[in-house]
Amino acid sequence: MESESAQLVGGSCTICGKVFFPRFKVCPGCASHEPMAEVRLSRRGRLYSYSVIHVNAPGFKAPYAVGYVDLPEGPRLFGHLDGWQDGPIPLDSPVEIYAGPIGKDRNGEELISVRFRPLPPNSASKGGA
Amino acid sequence: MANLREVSVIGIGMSRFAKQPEVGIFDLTQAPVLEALEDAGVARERVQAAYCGSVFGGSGIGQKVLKGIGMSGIPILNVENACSSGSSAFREAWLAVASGMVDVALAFGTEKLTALGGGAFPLSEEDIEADQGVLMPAVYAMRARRHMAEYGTTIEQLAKIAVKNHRNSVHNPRAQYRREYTLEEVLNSRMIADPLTLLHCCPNSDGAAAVVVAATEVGERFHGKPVKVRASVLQSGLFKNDFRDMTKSDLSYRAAGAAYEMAGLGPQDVDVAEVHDAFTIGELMYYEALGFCLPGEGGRLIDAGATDIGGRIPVNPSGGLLSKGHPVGATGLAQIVEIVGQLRGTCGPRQVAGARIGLTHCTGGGVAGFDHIACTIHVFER
Repeated sequence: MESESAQLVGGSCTICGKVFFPRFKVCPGCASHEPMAEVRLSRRGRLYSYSVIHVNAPGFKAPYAVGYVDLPEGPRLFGHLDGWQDGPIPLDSPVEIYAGPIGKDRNGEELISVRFRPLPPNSASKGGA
Repeated sequence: MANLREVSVIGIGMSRFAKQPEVGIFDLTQAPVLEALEDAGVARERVQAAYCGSVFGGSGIGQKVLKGIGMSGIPILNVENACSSGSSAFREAWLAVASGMVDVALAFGTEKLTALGGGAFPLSEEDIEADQGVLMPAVYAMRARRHMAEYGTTIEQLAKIAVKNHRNSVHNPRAQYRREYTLEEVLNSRMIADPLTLLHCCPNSDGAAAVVVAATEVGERFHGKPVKVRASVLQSGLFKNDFRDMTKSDLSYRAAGAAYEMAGLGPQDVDVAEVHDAFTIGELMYYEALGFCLPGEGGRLIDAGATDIGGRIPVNPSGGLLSKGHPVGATGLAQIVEIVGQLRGTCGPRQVAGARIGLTHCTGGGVAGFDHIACTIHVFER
């Protein structure tokens, strides 16, 4: 399932228009119960902040980096970050979003989730779905 | 607001904060409860309601502690609100008295973190970010990195907060650490979550604390020096799924505004504060949220020595969570124990001279989409 082509799908409230990831049954913005519309989220975003964790959490092997990335559609994504070994990554750098292994879940199974790959600073931030 | 009675703190008690796996949780907790009752001059039969803050104490912890000291059959409520559990228990006790429901109430808090086996504090299960390996130090580390990028705050300025709090706790016999650390020791300690090293983080601790409150009109009959509660505020985080300015704790700003309004006071009136310094960057961000300086100027405030004992607004004379320790359920009550001691003028070498107005701020809970789950702020006056 590790993939460059995996697609994150969020939900857009059909009443207030706010976009959420993951989708909610009831809109946290306006409390509407209308089913959210599917939204394909961008594969690129901007790195808001990050930290390299040097202590082991159950299922995760230190050191590893985690960060927050803001998507053009609105949602802020949490994920694991590549490229920190090469030196500090400037905040607000563009990143590419892909699916990859991040650690093990509570049952010891490999956990595939959101990963971020820093892009050169001049890369366009919009990207396509 | 409804007509609320004025409430005073009339008794305080606190265990030593330390890693003390050899001490059972009942012994650990009963001693400060008895100390607070004795300090208040209140017989246990006079206590009409009790509130116990604990995160990991388990079901019925309050009843289990109190049965061993002859206190059962009264309403007892166990309060879990992450790092704000103890201060939330205090707020319930305050509310019970302020509302006129009871005249005398007990709030206490307890935690034995050594029972969890050490390491970074476990975050809640069933959380999308905790399940993906986030840890509380990393959340604060991300705040620190962003604060540094936006305002030019330096790692040295953050480290100075740890240096200050360790310097203060040398004079606190109940603190976990009781030695000074140099700036270099803080900066060069083991990396936990970059840019925060070990000494930017509070330790896991075992400890308990207790406070007795009473209606002021009743309390004056007991303790000679009641300390009035001028404001009691509990706020919860606002869920957001999108952009959040991680350099500004919107929850703490909101709680501070409500607390100052309730007290009819402003930040300039505060003589001493105990602030939630689970991590150095936390104390710095909360300087700004509490209005001790302008947003972004926390680094300059610490550089100026304004938050030292003897400074313009001394913060964490007890040593704070960083040095006194952080047994989560007890922490908020231990802050109140310190501030009441400061306002009574009984804090010895760490006393803030002439303190009349004191403030406690306790916030916490790492859940995806929240700044924190809860924040409590209390304002006291002698």
